[in-house]
Amino acid sequence: MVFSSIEFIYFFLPLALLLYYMTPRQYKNYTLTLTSLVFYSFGEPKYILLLIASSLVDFYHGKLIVKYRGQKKAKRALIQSIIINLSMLIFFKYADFIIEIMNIIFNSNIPLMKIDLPIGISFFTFQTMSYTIDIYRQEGPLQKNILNLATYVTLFPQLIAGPIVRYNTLSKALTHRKHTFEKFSEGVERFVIGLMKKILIANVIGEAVEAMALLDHKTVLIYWMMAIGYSLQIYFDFSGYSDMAIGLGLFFGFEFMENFNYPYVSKSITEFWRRWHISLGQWFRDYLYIPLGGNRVSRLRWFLNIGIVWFLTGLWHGAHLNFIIWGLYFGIILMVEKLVLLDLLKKSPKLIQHLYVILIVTLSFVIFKYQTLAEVTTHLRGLFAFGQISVIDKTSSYYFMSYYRIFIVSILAATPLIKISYQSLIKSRFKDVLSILRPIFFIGMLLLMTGYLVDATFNPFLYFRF
Amino acid sequence: MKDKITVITFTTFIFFMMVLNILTPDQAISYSERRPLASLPKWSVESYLSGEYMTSLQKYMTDQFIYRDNFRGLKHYFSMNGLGLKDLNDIFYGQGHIFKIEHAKEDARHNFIKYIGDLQSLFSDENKLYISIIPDKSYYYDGHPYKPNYDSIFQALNNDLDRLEVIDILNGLSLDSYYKTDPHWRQEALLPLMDIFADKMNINYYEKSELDEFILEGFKGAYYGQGPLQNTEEELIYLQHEDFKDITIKNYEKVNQAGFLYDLEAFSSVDPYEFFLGGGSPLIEIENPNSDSQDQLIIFRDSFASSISPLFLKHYNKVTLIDTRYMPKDQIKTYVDISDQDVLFLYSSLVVYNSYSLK
Repeated sequence: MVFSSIEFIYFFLPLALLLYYMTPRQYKNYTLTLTSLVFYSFGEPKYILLLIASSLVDFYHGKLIVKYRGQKKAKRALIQSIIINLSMLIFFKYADFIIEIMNIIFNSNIPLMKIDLPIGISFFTFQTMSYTIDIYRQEGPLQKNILNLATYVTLFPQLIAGPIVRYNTLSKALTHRKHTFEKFSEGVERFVIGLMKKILIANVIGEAVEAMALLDHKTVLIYWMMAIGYSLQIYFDFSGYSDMAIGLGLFFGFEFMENFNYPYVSKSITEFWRRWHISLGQWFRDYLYIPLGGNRVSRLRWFLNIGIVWFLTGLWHGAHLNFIIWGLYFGIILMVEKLVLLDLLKKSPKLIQHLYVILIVTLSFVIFKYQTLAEVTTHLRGLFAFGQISVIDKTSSYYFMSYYRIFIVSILAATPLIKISYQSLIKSRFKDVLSILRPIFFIGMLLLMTGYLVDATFNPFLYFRF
Repeated sequence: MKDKITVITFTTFIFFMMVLNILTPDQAISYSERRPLASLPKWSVESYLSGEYMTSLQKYMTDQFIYRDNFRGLKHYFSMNGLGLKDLNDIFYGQGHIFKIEHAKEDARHNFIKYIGDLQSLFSDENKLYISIIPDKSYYYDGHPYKPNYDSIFQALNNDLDRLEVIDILNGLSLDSYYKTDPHWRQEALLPLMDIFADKMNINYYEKSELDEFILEGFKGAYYGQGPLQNTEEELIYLQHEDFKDITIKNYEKVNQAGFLYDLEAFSSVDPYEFFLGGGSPLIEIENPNSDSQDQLIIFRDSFASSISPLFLKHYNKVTLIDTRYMPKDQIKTYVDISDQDVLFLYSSLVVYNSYSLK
């Protein structure tokens, strides 16, 4: 079940809220866990056991770590829990990829396993690993009640596509959290804005990109519209989902970390990755990059650390070669930035800095989108095939005229401009009018988006496959 | 206070919608979308574990959502007027009509020409062969940038199919010749077209004064449900002639039923254009004992021919309609005596660009 669906907004959510707020405080986690399991069962009923097993394994290993603190057994328990979690991830997500590589290297013919990927496995295994690691590092308390840990692992707002909520940031809220109108109201705002990003921008642009992909003759303009369109689609899709997740978390008293901070206004790729999928970047930084030595090592070792982190970041996104290339592409650019480019960029006009980021990121998403090398090269070549193919024709100008408004709106929405304007308005003399208009606007938007949902032909969440 | 208002408004709204949806009785069919709506699925352990139950439940909730058509209209209105899209899922509006973008697939056009070439080879020199392509109605609408261009089709017909005489009907039609909510042409608007056919094929045709017009109210075409911004019902006018009382119709798909030139029952179905000849069929034979000649005509056709075929009965004693989307071309000679017949290939551009459906 996705958040942007009729069944979620008008059936699951009201019932979940009703049950949750009717439950006495001390039993709220029971209700929340049960609700989360029902939510997960809408997509993957058979993998509910996997979620329960994951909670049990980490609960048990957490206890072992605390029991043997200061002893080698504690470290052994930590390693054991990491191995179990990673094995689960590798088995379900990478088994066929590994078999394919082995078949190529050894010229063998091992049949593929073709296992259904449990939804959100990349997210919840990283979260459960953070539980045992944080306990080992004494950065979070041991959960004595399995149910509280199960609430953390299965928490439906962030279960299937993040943000990757680390245990130490949520441990307190699992047992002591406040439910206020202020929080809930902020949650409504985040949820509706997330829905708007997803339904009114990501889906509309996504449909355009899909339609353009079917054209027999693509012009340079079409290749650029597809590349820029996909970059916008993936941003509004994923950041919209994160907004909805944060909003839903607030409904139930949780405050999740921000996952996006206007990444397309960045002036370098280093900055871009501080603003894009922040929870994943921080996870890799805290649990991999820093333990590897970070930048406090020799230059060669430092670059090796960056290479390892970005190879794994790419691989985390999917069991395909293009994701690894995509990760390494960013790894190399970050190395070049650290060596020379950052200094050069700082001396350049801001426009150049922004254009540099937009170009690098747009090209990266061409690699990200297409899973065969042939498709990637066709689309990259198409962007620069001036003189070889038409720059513009009747069909591409049609698509341009049809979609340029939504492209402009989405480019503006990818900057803090709307947020800054809104914040200055609520401080102005229009404050009272705005507070009346606010709920009316939310309901109006919900009604409008309901129209899109009942007539939906295109509603994928891109990050569900990771 | 403002937070309280926001929270109460939001939660009341989603609860209210949930309750309203639960209390509203389910609908079996969506007439505007011409399809049955999903019903509440039955729960079983197997369907639950396979995920099938949840998928069906999601479809049910979306299909049975209250005021579904109004919500779809809201989406169309905002997409076209708010976001400024020129089309939505290929649907666009103009001059009171609903249109659908025709994607000119070159490979499909090549395939069509090759296919007609294969059909042509079934016939000998004693057959007179004609071909005509029915333009999509968007050809007659200038207010949208996606206007079809049929030059390449006519060029290929003239160059590659030398035994066929091409009958260009582009000038015989206008936007008013088509239904507003449907891609098909209106039967009563086809008389000027018969003038063009008669001239090329050297046949007689019914004059307007010989025909009586009858009106059926409440026609909802194929685009009616897809284009909720322009879904007003319209009139279907059909033509009657004294000859039609004596004709016999043999529909090979409904061998045990009497064939109808006009099927009133079909008018009430989800596809009311099936009123003409009862809809698609691989093979239909219409015989008119009162025809001016003993000539016979074979029409290789799609659904557009259903409404124009009665107008050929003035001249032809027998009109055989073959729809090769349902009958493979290698079976034609088994069922139809093709010797010494006039042959008209009459296809809409919709079929030209979807020619892989031809068998």
